[in-house]
Amino acid sequence: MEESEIINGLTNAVVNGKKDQAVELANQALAAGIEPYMAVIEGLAKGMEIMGEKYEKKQAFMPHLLMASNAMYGGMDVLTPHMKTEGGSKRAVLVIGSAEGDVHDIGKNLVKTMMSAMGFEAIDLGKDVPIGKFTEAAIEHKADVISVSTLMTSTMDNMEKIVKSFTEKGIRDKVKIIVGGAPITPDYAAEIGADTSKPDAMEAAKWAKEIVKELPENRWN
Amino acid sequence: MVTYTPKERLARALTGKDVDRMPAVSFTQTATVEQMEACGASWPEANEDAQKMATLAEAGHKQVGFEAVRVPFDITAEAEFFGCQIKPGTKEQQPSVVGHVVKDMSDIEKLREYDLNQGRVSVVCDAIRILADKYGKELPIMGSMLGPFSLAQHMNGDDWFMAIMTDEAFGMALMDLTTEFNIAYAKKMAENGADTMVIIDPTASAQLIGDEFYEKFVVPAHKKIADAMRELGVTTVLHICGDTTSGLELMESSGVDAISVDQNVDVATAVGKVDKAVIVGNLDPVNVLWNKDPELVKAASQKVLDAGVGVLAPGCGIVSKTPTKNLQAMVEMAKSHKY
Ligand code: B12
Ligand SMILES: [Zn+2]
Repeated sequence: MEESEIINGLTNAVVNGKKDQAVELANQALAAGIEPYMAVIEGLAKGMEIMGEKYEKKQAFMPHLLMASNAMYGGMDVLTPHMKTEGGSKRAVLVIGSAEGDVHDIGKNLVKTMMSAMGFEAIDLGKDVPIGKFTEAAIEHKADVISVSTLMTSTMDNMEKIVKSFTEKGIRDKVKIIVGGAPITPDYAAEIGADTSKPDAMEAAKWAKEIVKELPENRWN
Repeated sequence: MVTYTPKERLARALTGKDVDRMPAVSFTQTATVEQMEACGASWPEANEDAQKMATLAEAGHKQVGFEAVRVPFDITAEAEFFGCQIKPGTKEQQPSVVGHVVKDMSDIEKLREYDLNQGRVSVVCDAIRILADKYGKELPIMGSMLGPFSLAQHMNGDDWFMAIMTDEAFGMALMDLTTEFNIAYAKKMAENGADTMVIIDPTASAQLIGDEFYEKFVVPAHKKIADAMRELGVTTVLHICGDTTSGLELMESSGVDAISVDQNVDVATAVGKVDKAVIVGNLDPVNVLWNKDPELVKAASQKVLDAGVGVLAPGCGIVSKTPTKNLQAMVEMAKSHKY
């Protein structure tokens, strides 16, 4: 198969939520000597981006989105082990979770999916995450970006506490913090000392990909 | 001029009959910290104890002036009943579902036999009995429950959204289980004195699953519940969160009497989209009822009234920290509105 055929196939596999197909094509990509990073970004991630847009336009819904993300992860599981060794430099690390008291995690999972699609290694703390877990995980995994979601106004306070905990531990300048969820605005993000907020998962991932370039390489040593 | 008891008035308003004025009620959870402090019954205990639950529900009537009493205050008793792990609530926060119990068909089979005299669903029925004995002639007695689709999602976890796409037989089987449970539970609430049934099905939002899945999985389930309630003379109100505008016709096709919409929905548009169903709502529980003052609550209420709402009410569950005076402002606006 042609290189472009494989890449397009990966995109289609994600759009159609076909995990088996994504896995098979990912293996073919490796066999054909396609750069794994390319297969992820041009192939799998593009499919996820298309689905994200369809969701915004109400042409696709949660079931389709989750099927797509399932297919994407299927393909990524095949490709990412080869990315580290070949690419040389380490993948950027994302620590992600929903604020304490909040069990909504569908949006959080979408952000994780998009960030993974952008090449991040995601440490997923899940939902209703105790405040201290974020700094703990950031230190353990030498994180680059921290993403916190909340959909409820009642748990916005906890978001502020999470940002503060980074200052208290003296590691605020080692990470970029992005906060989001329906009630969160960029103004609020600024107010609590986070770096930014974005309206959706794709925007969040695009921002994260650019912003990590500002972080000094050896800051965790 | 005819006047009605609050009970008659609400039943008439929800079925599109003439009334002297608008009823003043909340179809979504009513408890607040201020009411807890005034009546001595607080979360989390009032979620577990029938007498305390009834006392706190009564506070909505006595302190705020709601012309109804309504239980429970959370939407986790149903999932808890089937064994889902629950994170306990606090005085300010409702409990939430954190664990899931159904992975496959065999798990569904194991859950087919149950006893409604157990667990918090039975506490809710006891609280309804206490309230009905005291207020049943005068006030509407509202029972509420988590709807079948959201219950299925709690039981199956996030895989549920994929299951309805990839494994229709499993999806239908779980919906059957939850729908049967909902009907039995609603009937038991009605036997104990509930005359109004609020079905809260947040995850069934057309915004999340789209029309196709909604029509296939949700409408038939809601229809069975609405039919069972109609036979008992109980009115039904369906509450789904989010922007449900595009799904309103489908929601109505289940035959519920009223549809409770949240602040993301434009009331005038909603009223125009339904045929018979009464549209209720939709004051923003956070940005209006909790965080504004009585004057602004009145102004927001006026807008909703002008848009032609069937019954003015909060758009979703009242936030526990909401000031009583804001709720009273909404009550006053409803009471002084003639159709
Ligand atoms: C599904 C749902 C649930 C499900 C959650 C299932 C799950 N596993 O997540 C269940 C039924 C469990 C649930 C429970 C409750 N819910 Co609920 N729920 C919803 C609902 C209907 C949809 C949320 C959703 O998943 N949307 C789809 C996703 C994709 O969107 P999203 O999360 O917003 O994410 C997008 C953006 O926000 C952004 N984003 C998300 N995270 C991040 C992070 C970053 C860094 C960035 C940049 C961007 C970003 O990207 C995504 C798009 O690309 C909303 C109403 C609605 N329609 O929004 C209510 C809603 C969020 N729930 C609400 C409430 C009140 C509750 C309960 C308290 C109800 C109760 N009384 O028990 C409980 C909460 C329990 C708890 N402690 O958390 C309220 C919150 C009100 C408020 N403003 O405070 C809402 C808004 C409903 C309402 N109108 O009142 N809920
Ligand atoms: Zn709601």
